[in-house]
Amino acid sequence: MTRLFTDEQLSAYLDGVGDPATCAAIDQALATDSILQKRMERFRRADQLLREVVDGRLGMVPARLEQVAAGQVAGFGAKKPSPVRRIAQLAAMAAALLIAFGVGTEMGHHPVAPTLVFGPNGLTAGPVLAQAISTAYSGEPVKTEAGAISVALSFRSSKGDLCRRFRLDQGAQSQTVVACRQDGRWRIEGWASSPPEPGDNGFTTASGPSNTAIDAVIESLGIAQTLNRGEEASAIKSGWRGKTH
Amino acid sequence: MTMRSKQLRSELVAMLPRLRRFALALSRNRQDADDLVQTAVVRALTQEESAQNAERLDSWMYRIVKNLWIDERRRQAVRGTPEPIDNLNDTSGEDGRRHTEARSDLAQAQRIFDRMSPEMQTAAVLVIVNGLSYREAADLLEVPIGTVMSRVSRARRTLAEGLTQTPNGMASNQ
Repeated sequence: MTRLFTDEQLSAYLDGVGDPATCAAIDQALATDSILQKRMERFRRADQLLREVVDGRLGMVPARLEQVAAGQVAGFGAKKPSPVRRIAQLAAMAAALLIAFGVGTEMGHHPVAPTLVFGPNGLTAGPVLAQAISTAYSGEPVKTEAGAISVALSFRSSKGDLCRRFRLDQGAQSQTVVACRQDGRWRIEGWASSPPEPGDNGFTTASGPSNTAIDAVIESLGIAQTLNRGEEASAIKSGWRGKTH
Repeated sequence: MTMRSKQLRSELVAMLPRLRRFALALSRNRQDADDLVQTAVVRALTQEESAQNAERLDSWMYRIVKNLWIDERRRQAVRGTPEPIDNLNDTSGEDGRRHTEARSDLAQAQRIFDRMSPEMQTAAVLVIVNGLSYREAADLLEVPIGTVMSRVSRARRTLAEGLTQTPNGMASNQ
């Protein structure tokens, strides 16, 4: 009797999309067919374990993601979760990466000027960070209240916006960020947590996986022109007013 | 912040777990998955009007994550071999005496999941874990609905058969 139903039919039944006649037949058979009951139970168990595998591997949603998505002020001095397992420890490390990376809203009140600000135009650099992005030369790290800024690349996007890729180091925490100049502000196009230096847990550096999202952001922006030292100096002098369209 | 902006942010927060699962299935690496989702969220917030006008925000976000990953995969093809899948849940750092049957099943499920093709993993995560319909998954993955159905079914069968072949597999079905 069990052989009457294919795995695909049972799978569709579990997902609630089987055709009504087949589903009715499966329902009827399940009432009496112990072999079919076991097959179905194994599939349900497989589903349950699949959920555990995926969610266990991901761990908690990192605080940085929630803060960014919610547009909330990052908790300066926020407590780190108490790790009880290795997975939880790793998740807490990921969460801590952005705790010092202050995110505020233009309407909010902050004890410290936020590094990033949410506004009508999306996510933009706060005043201290914006000043550093506007004045730093590539390859010359600058220390600010928002952290140490190291610009790695200045370029004009395919839309004509002037953009910069830089690393923001705040204590032991680092972010790689891409920002583009729009309407007198540095709009944050994307960022990723930068891994620790080589030798710490075997993570890689600049070309490692944490920069994959940044690479994708730059690719989506398109590089129409990379600025050389002279062009960068001109852009700094002109306050990055260089849109070509 | 307008009510619509607040609503958007609230919806984005609520869908983070689903987006991360999808991103993990694509990237096979938690850090890459979180970076993908983070970039997608920032993209949504910087294109707030488009996000608010999306007929289905979750579908719109899934698509952004997928497109970001396609871009990334192109870059990986140039750069070299992608990172291997995470093994954050390996039990090497934990007390070996705590290996219960359930844990053993979970470890076996992890191994089976890791050996699945990316296509099977993605379909299984979208439908079984995230609860998308076959039609929604087919639209997102741009494959026929029958293909999604087949991949999901094979994923279930692969897991179920793999688990029954272990000493603890049958015990788990009690």
